Amino acid sequence: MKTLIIATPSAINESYVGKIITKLDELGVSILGIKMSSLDIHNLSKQKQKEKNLQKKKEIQKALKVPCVLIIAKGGNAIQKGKEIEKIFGNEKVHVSQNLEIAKYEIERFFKKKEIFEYEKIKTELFK
Amino acid sequence: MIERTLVLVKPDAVERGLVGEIIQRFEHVGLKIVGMKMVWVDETFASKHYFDIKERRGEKVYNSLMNMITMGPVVAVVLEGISAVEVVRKMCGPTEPKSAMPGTIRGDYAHVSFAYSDKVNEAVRNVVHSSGNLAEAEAEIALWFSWNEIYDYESVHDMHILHKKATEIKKAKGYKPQEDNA
Repeated sequence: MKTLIIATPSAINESYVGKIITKLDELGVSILGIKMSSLDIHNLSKQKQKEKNLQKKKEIQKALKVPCVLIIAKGGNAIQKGKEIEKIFGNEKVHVSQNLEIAKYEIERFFKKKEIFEYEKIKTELFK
Repeated sequence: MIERTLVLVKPDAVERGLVGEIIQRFEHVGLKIVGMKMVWVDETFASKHYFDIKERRGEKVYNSLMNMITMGPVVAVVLEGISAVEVVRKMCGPTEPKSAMPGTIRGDYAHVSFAYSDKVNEAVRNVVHSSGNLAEAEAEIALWFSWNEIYDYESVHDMHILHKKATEIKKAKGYKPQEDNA
């Protein structure tokens, strides 16, 4: 089960990126992909692109110049754990996929296949 | 004066779950993250990164380093700040974790010695890589990142650490020092 976690510009601004990744590790999900990326205007839904209000459009464009940090997390109950992260840090700093379908869609939209890495954390036989 | 430098969180640290804590350290000193991504490099790419190691340190070290850097994904980070290259070097500590002081990243997250890694024929697992000097930093950033993966943006760091625009922003917000009423 995979989910997408977005550390927003506000989280970057307030130096929360490291903390969010640490918390993910503590919750026991593994991180399969990280990248800093702005959510490009061309990727926005058509409805928002058609925004008539120029002021609003400018606002959106300005917001999109600032990068976010996108993180793919995998693990049992990843969606639930993502929501937990959202609860801890607040909606302003973290956005997460709300269900499996959305997670799948979001990951495909923001990540190329070659940017996702399936790897196993080292565990000794004893702890398997 | 304001520089950019490259930090790699090496595969051993990624698998040990240290990415967050290491990034946190750089964030806390006020270095700005202007680029970040997880990548799993192949031998061709790694040989470009370690192009001068063979001459400098010999074939054996080169081979073990190549094995180490390609064994799993790394997290590459571009950091921006005043004398960033030097500051990041200082925070990482010397190459050998055994002789790195507590408080440095290598001193806090590893303790391997050169002697031991030589004995087991492995590269020193020293958690991070950082650019050695400004020229190296520029070359490494160009190797690991394309121009559109690096972001120029304003953040709280500009205001409080670089004092950029701090006065203008405060003026625009109508900031005045508190008047003494007494």
